Amino acid sequence: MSGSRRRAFAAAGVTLALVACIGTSRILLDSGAATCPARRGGAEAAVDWYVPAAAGDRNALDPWCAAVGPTVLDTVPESNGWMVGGDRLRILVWNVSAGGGRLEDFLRQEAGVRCGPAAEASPPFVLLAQEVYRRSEEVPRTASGATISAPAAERDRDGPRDDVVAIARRCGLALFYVPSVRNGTEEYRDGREDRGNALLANVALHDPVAIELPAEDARRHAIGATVRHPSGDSVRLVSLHFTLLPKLWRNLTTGNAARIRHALGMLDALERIGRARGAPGAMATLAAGDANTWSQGDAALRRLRVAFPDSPPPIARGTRGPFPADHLFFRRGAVAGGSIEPGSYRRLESDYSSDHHPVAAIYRFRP
Amino acid sequence: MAHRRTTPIAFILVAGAVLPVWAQPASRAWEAVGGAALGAVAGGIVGSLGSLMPCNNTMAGPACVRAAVTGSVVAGGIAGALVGGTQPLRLETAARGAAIGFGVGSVLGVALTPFIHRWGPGDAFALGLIGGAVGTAPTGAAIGFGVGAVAGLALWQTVPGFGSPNAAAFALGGLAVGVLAEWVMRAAAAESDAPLTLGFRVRF
Repeated sequence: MSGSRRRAFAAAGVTLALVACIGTSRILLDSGAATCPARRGGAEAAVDWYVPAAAGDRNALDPWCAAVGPTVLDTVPESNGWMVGGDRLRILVWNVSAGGGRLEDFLRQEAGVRCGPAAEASPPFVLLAQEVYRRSEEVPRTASGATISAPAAERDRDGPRDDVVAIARRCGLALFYVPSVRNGTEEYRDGREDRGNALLANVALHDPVAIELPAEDARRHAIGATVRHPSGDSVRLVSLHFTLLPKLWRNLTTGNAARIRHALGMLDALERIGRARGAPGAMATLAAGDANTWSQGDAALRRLRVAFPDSPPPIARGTRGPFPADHLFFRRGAVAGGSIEPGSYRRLESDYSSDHHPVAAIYRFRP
Repeated sequence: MAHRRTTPIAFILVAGAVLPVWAQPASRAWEAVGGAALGAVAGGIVGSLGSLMPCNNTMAGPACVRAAVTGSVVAGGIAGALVGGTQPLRLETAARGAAIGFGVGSVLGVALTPFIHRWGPGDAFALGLIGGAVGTAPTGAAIGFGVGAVAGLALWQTVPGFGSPNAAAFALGGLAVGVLAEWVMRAAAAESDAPLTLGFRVRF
């Protein structure tokens, strides 16, 4: 073969190699060797961390992690929602848009939460939240090598910005908060903030897990915990947040695989979590959140609907402008578990000043 | 994973795109090689750009994009080899257009840096590559984009649930089809001008 022909094969080969590799979406239980401060010590010790298997993913994610503060885990609420009785758990799902969304108003209106000294028990609920923010001295100062995310876009509105940790403590709620990225530089609003996923509830949160999704653009998570009904029945709840759009170069060279990798990574981790507890697929699982999709036909949604065959029909209306960004997926447990109450899955009318409408459903435990 | 197994298949298909190089007279081998490379790269880039959004609405997702890119690379490579081997001046025009397009795209990419958070050199380079691919076939790109955009806008305004992302997908898909169509038409014209290239002499 002449040199010119070899060059032609090489040029074509390089082009194909670029588009043929989208990388792995395998997830492993964290070995504990991570340098990321959000995964070390304190509350993190009670959390099972699952991280991408590929070293390239971890190397890309660690600079984001270096800029956030510690995980927050308050597993027991001051007032237990099961005291009200019943077998129904209200599921609320919302991208809060950091300080943009009126979180306390939302909890009062949609979950009946009354904060402060006159707090009363409200019916059982769990909020699967995305893009909640926390302002704290525990968020580290900007260091070289750390990646600082731009602050989340917030709608101008009157009233204070609602810090998720402050709200949860003032309202006596259980909280599992995992920061994903820094929310702006130290100069932003004269304080250090991070933002990420959270579970807020007036029922106890057990068995917390944090799944770090494969690196696409900014660091993203799916976080989960188990809620147990007094009857003994359980459901695992997962708050997910997938990427919107990776960088142009990555998008061109991976065939727009970002959300699929996130979906497959989350499914892989959930499978491993089930196996690690000796009963894969045994527990009912509900995963919901901001998948950042533009259409109901998105490839990632199609895969998730296959993996969660008991999901309610998609909501026809957009949750972020005209786009169907937020979704809820469900699968019954092989051994035990309840179900989503038919017709209960819907979009809430008010956006509470966020750029996303919340969605809600009723989970009914097995009696 | 499955996508790893598609790589050797893709290489075999690319080999098919480069085979026409052997059909050219020895004196034009370099032009045929250059044409095949330029056509294959341009086809691959517009194939990816045009298929991202439609494929994202299928279960196959990235696998669908890879199939579209492979087809575009093959089509662009064959057309480019035929054009290069028979009509070097046309290839020169396409290469000049690619250089101009790459320059315009790259400059635009660099200019966007202050306005898009975490937009980096890789993104500017990617925009340059898109500009280069469009520059190889600007007429086809403009017509294809225009037709796709008008059709997409019309469907968006008239078909409930069609949505603005689908309108954008039509425009980008039209651009991709336009670029590939111009390459294929050039190759067909080259074939008619130079019947000598019709005989394939495959040598291993």
